[in-house]
Amino acid sequence: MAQRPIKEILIVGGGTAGWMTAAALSHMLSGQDYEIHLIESAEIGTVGVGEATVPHIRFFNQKLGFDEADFMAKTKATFKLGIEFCNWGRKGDSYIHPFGAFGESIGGVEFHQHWARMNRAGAAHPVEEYSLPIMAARAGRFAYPAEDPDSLLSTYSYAFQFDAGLYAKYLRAYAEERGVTRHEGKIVDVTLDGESGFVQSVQLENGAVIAADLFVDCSGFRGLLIEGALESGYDNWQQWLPCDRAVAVPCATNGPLSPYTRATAKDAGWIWRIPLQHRVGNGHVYCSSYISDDDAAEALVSQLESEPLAKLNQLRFVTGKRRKQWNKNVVAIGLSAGFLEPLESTSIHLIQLAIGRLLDFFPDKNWDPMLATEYNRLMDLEYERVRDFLILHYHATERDDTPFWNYVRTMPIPDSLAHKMATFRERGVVVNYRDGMFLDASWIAVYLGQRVMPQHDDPLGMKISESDLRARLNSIRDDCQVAAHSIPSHADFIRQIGAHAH
Amino acid sequence: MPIEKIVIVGGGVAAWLAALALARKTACAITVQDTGGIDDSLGEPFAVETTLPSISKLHDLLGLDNEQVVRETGSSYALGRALSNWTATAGAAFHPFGEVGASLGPVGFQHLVARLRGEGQSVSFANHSLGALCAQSGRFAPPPAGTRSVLSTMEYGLHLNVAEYRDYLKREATALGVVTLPGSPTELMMDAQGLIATLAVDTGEIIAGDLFLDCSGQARLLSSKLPQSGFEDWSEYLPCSHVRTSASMSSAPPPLYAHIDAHENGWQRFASTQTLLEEVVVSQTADPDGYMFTSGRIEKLWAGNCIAIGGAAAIIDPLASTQLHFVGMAIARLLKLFPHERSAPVEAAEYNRQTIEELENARDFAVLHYKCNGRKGAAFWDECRACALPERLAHKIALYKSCGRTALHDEESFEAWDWISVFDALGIRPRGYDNMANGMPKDRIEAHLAQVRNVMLKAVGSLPTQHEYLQSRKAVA
Repeated sequence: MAQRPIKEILIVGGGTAGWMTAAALSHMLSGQDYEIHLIESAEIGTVGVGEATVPHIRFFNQKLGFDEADFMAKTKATFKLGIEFCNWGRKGDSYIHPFGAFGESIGGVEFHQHWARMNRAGAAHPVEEYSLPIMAARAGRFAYPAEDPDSLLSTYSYAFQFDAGLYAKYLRAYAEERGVTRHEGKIVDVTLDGESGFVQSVQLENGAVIAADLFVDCSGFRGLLIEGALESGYDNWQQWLPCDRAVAVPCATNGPLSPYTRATAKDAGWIWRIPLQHRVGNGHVYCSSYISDDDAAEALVSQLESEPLAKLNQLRFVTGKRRKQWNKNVVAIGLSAGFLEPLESTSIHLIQLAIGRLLDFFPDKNWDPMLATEYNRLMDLEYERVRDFLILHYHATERDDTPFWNYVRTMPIPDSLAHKMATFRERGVVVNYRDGMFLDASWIAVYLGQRVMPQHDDPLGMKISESDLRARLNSIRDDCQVAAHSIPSHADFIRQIGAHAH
Repeated sequence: MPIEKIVIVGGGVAAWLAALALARKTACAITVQDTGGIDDSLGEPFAVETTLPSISKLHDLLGLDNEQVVRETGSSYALGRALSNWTATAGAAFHPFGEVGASLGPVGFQHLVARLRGEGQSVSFANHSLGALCAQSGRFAPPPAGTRSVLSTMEYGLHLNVAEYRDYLKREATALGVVTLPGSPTELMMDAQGLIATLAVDTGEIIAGDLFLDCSGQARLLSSKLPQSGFEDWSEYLPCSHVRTSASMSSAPPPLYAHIDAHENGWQRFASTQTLLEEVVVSQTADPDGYMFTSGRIEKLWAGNCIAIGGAAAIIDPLASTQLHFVGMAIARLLKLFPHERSAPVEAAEYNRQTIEELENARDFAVLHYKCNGRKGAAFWDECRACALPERLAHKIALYKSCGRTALHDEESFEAWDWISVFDALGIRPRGYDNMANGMPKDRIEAHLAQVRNVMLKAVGSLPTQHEYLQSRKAVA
């Protein structure tokens, strides 16, 4: 069958998802005969408040050819070594999920197995002391990972925390330079093809009609095309992830610039703290069945480190996933595709993944149905695996101090997660899969951080004597301490590389 | 109660691989209960076992050196499979181990080829595969560790002389303290928990153990005696069940591949080592001089304190040479999930989950050859094309036909390029390809292909023939 290329691509919605899509498509499809349009309305706010990311974002930026220091200065970005979780397993607990593994395997047996054995014997320090990125994060330090693979300083990765509004602006300039046409306006009507049910065109408030072959729905929670026009359906995951509202507000930084995001568990949800160069993003994600909006806002504001810099921004959402993220000629990217709370900074990664997959399965006018089928299969897997990882944070708790925690602690969880937790608890084995963004190290960090401890020794680790093991663990711990203190402070490093906002 | 004693039933390759691995990695006492007879522990009693590249990982785990194994057992190296007479035309195609060609920027090699083919050019994958080019010219030496040349991308398996290999493994394991006892189990004595406590053996001995491995091939001397020992039969997908083998001495330089030729009711395989040439005929029709097998798996691979490994666990039509690979994977998996006591339902559940995924994916890879054959008008092959398909395989085929991509799942034995090579060998040409291949000028793609081929040809030219290589290593030894 001859290829019949499509010509017009319309992205509905600006914001992070819309402009990431526009920037990536304008770059990757350059040299071909495509026209890329984007509609956004200044009246409709974007959700982006201050975004924390995962290391994959660097590949996205590199692919587009961004200069890292320039990008950081313009988005007022900071470096991120991980996320600190406070009060999750128990009130008073704190652990960091770092971008890097704990220790190193010894005698072919994974580090956490040895640590668990020594911990049971009362002879281990807290597991975070065997992690360089955590020690650096706790000390407020940062440097690029070393290139020498033999160096301990090469064993971690990093991401960014940035102002999502500024990131969208940065991407917009890039995309417009590469020929993307931006239309200002609100969409008031959508026309479908009578026969195929494909979206034909959208109409703006000013009467303009914009037709296209492929529509990318980046309209946020509403899903203007994917749901509003095509009724693709939504899998509701509130039974496992019951939080349904958020309130957000920035404040000024008070204290040193921390190279990590913080998520503090509260009575009926949790509060994020995302440090940027010029301010701190804060937000309270909560479940409206257990706390009123006013109390949630009060809980947020009362713990701010300085005066709020803006009005409170209220958000409502339903955790879950669109049943078909690609339906007919509409591909939903961003919050229109599904909503998973930002507990593990997955939103931008899921956008990035969706863009990559859209390019992999890029359609032509034959609209081969297998493309959407496979795209949806792969995206479903990603969303479900992120979902399970998020549920773990709520479910693996000993907290019984509020009705909210009693619910999540005792709720039935998906079989896939129950199996994973049982396998780790039994013998410290992490169940892993081909697809899914969180690797073993992430699961281990959250299990151990939230008191899901292996009950039994790994029999293969018992060939090493306790005294030999103690010496190895001590030397790993010392090395992490020394390395963590050999690198500059986070703020100094940002200045050193010229990434500070001017 | 910790696992202190492991009893392995069966005296074949599968048993000795497991024995050696467990002797190296655990502190347990290990007994091999040698049941004698022909060695069908992998599934079929081949004289030459053609392995996948995963054999290197297994040997690493066992502390063995490929080169030494080849020298001590008269085995040889392998770079893939030649497939002939699977399509309507009489031509042959090559399925090399590992990747083919090289991507150009973000665009996968198969899409570049599809673009050029779409413009009427005739482009062959094999001409851009290091493995295929080496196999064709008979040149091979294992790539040195740490090399940065294109040779570092070469993946190779082995053609093993099974009898010598088994003896070699046995010597190594025995040196580590593994004990061999003669006799076959006649009865299992269970404890109060429903676990195997002891075996009664036909020599009159009673053998106690904490963990039992059934490596007895299709006889399934332990598994078949356990309660609820069902078998999931896959012969609706894999219709061949008869195999005849004939091996003869051969000192000719062995080809670097197995040749798999489809015939009227099945297929035949020619595979050589330094000392043997074996012909294997696999068919649907009964063969009084042959050996019978049924493709399928037992329902509970790890049940209680008994784990079936090798042919005792599952048999998949030997077309894709997966049986030894399964043993290696089973061993690695068992070590990762090694139980801390006799009853280990959590470990068993995870072991079974992974193993079943793996078996089904590998089964599908074999089924693909039958399902997408091009021998129209031949009754057996017409039936194969009409047969039912597992859902996942139907999706894989439909996706490849649509856009030249492969849908891979957890626990795949074959990666994207194995699937693509076989799809292509079977004459399947995707309708579409990566749109980004259209964004590149044609001459840039052509230049890229030419460069890939030149780099590979140059690398191949720098290698000795396998025969020269093997002779030089003998001299060193």
